[in-house]
Amino acid sequence: MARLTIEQVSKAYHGTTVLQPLDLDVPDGSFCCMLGSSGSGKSTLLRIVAGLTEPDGGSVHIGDRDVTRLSVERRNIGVVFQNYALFPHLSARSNVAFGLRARGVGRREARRRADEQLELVGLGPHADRAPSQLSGGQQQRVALARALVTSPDLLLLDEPLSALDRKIRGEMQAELKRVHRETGLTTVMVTHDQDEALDLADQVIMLDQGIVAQHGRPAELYESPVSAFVASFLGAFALGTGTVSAGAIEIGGVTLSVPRLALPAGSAAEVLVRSERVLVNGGDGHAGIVRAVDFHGAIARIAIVVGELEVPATVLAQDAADIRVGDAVTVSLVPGSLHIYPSKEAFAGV
Amino acid sequence: MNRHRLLMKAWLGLVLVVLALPILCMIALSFNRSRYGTLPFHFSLDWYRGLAGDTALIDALRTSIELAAEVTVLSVVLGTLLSFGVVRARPVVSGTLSQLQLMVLTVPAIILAAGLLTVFDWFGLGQSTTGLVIASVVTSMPFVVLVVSARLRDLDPRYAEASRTLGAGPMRTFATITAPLVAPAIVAGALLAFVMCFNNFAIQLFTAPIGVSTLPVQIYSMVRLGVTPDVIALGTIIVCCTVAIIVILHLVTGSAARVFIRTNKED
Amino acid sequence: MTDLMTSPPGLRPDGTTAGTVPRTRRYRPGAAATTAMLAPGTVVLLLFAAAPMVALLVTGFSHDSAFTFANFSKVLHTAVYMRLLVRTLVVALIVTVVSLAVAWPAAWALARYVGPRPRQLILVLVIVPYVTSQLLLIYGFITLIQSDGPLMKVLSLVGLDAHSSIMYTPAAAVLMMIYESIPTGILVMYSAATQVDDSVLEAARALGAGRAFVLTRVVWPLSVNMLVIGFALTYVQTVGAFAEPGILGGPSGQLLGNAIEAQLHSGTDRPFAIAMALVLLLCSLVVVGLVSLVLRRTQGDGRSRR
Repeated sequence: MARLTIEQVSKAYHGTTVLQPLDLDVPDGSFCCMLGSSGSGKSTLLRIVAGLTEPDGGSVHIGDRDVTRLSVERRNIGVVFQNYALFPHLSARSNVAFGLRARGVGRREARRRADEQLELVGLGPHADRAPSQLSGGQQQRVALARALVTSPDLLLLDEPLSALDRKIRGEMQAELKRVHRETGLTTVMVTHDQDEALDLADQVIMLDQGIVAQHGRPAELYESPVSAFVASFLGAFALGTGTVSAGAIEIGGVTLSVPRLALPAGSAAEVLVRSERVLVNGGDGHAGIVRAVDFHGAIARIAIVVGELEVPATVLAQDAADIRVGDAVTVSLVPGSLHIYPSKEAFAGV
Repeated sequence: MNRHRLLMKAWLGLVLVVLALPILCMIALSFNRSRYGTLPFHFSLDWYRGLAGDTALIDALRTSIELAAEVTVLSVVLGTLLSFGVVRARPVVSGTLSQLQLMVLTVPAIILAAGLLTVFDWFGLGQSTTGLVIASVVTSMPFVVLVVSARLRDLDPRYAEASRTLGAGPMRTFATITAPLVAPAIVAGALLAFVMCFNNFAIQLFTAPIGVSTLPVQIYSMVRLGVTPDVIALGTIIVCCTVAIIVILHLVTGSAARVFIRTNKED
Repeated sequence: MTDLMTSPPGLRPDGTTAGTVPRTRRYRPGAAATTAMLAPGTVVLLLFAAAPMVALLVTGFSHDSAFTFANFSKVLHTAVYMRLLVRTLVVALIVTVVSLAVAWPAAWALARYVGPRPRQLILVLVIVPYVTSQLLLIYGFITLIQSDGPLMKVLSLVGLDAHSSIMYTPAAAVLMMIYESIPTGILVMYSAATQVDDSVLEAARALGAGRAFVLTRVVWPLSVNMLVIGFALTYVQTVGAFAEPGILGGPSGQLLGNAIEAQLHSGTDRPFAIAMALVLLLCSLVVVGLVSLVLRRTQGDGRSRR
């Protein structure tokens, strides 16, 4: 159990910068998610914390120890890899016992504790099986058991759930939460799935090509994304570029009222909308025509044409039951459903 | 389309029969009483019994086995080290080494032998046992490197990483994780090196000193006298051993053919 | 979904990553170990694989420690050796072309029309001759074709004299060399056959291409690369043949390899033997180069011809 402090850590491969100098503080016992797409540098950062990659600059502290130049095996960490990396020539039990044996624990004692750990994750009877004989979910749990049995200071997870199918993933997410709660272990997880990050984490750090795009509690990123990149990664839909006027923004022939808009009048701005916050036929709003209604089980997505815009709305399936393509509806954009950012161009285009 | 397929498969069958024919014929005739291996066929084990008495042949066989054993050990040690180094080395280095080994495998043996003899002369070796061993190692080592480095390349680096994160240092990781996972390839390489060295006729003919006769060389000198049934009997035994080795190779690596097909794919 | 950085370059089997940006003064801790591993094998290869080639060049051009073209001019001006050279080059060409022609359809069938289980078994059957000693194969061949042997007994049923045989004729040597080259051909073209995607062929047929068209415009261009490799491997090996011609070929079936062998064994004029070997090697490389060029030409250049 320890706090993780990263200061000004940077990394470049063959001249390409993979990580700009960044700082990160993960308090003892908290759960931090590193979120981003491929190439964002999130896995590199994790590998640096684990000691599998050396940073070009900066320092990493686990607790009070400066581990920046410390070799991997002395960091006392637990890592779960994306493909689990279970040793194919060892049984599940031997896999879990490996870390204990490496630390000098006797064979019998190591086996006992490994069996114990496997019981905890419900794999007691499978202890003798080879990894190839286990299902994806089972392998994942063995990998987790293997990382936890040595009582590490830090738990690192590199996209541990991405190889699992949806239902199992849900179970494993609950499992991870439970483990975190029960062990109080400082946990850092890399993922590209924003739902996962929002669900599991106490704090989220989002990376975009080696740079920190935003850093904070999940709710902060969701409610107040600081850039169009973050907003769109977390599910907002881009409506396009509009022109700012006093307390409003004109886009696609529609004027959206945005009180407290702090951008200079006449400037161009990108507008993104949260489809789940769009109200259909819920009161005053803009007139629109329904273009499409798609059902996705519990929810429905409705595409509504307003002016030149196509506004997506996500509603409960039962609320969309009466809506047909071609219907005239009212679209209300409640406060908090829009995210607006200065556009990269200096002046508004016509 | 079906007739077309059938024809091609029939052709494959024909080719396989042709490939097997000389070997099958030799096996069959080893059990034939006729001294010249000619028909008509009368079953007999005479030649196998007589084999023990053919000292020249048995001595040559022993020499071949001793040579192959020695060469295999050296090839495996050098080749495995080389493979581990090649995986870590810069592409320039590993590329050059690959080219050198490819050259060893493709240049006609007689030409390589001529060059080796000259180099041996420079070192004052000439035709000697040492020279023979060296020449055999040079031509067998590439097979070990081929198999072992392929396995190393395919080996997921994350196994070793996982081992390190669990607290095992580089030595322990190597001993408990990397080595066991590479071992089958090393065994396969050893088998291959043994077989290829045993059969390396041209190198043995030119670099062996007078008085040292390996089996292929011995057979070569005897063939002028015509077909001797002792050789046929011994040949049958050797072919059976070869098949056994190939089967073991197959079981160990999962596909014996992969070694050879890789050779060509790598070009 | 794999992050590009999950398997960074320079990852080593012991779990560490090689090197950092060169501009830092940090030394690469693995470099010393790497060199140690490479050293013994590299020394062996340099001394006994690279050096012999250099030695060949040096010796071929020397006589009594003086640089000279004498050896080569001797080779080129002696009718006997030139005849042998030409015969060798031509025979090797025949052997290579025939063995590839025989092997390719077989390899194709093996790769595409045979199930996975039988395929493994058949591959083992193909490899056995490949790893069996050349001498034993020749012996087996002799037992097969010798007078009063199985082949002649069968052929006597159609009227040939059972007491005759093709032993000691060039045909015997050529057939033997073809036999020895078939496994190589199969293995190489098997590789080629597995690389031709089924979907590509199906697409061609769906577009209305007849079998001949598919063969020449789709299968061939995709296979040429491997064909060239197969040609090179087989040809270069075959030009150096001396055992088969020596044992089976009879007086008119000798090849340059036999002359080189004789010279090497007599030990009197090694530079001359080496000059012959170099000329042979050079000519074979030229032939391979030419064939390679011609074959690649037929491949099409990817751009539209119309």
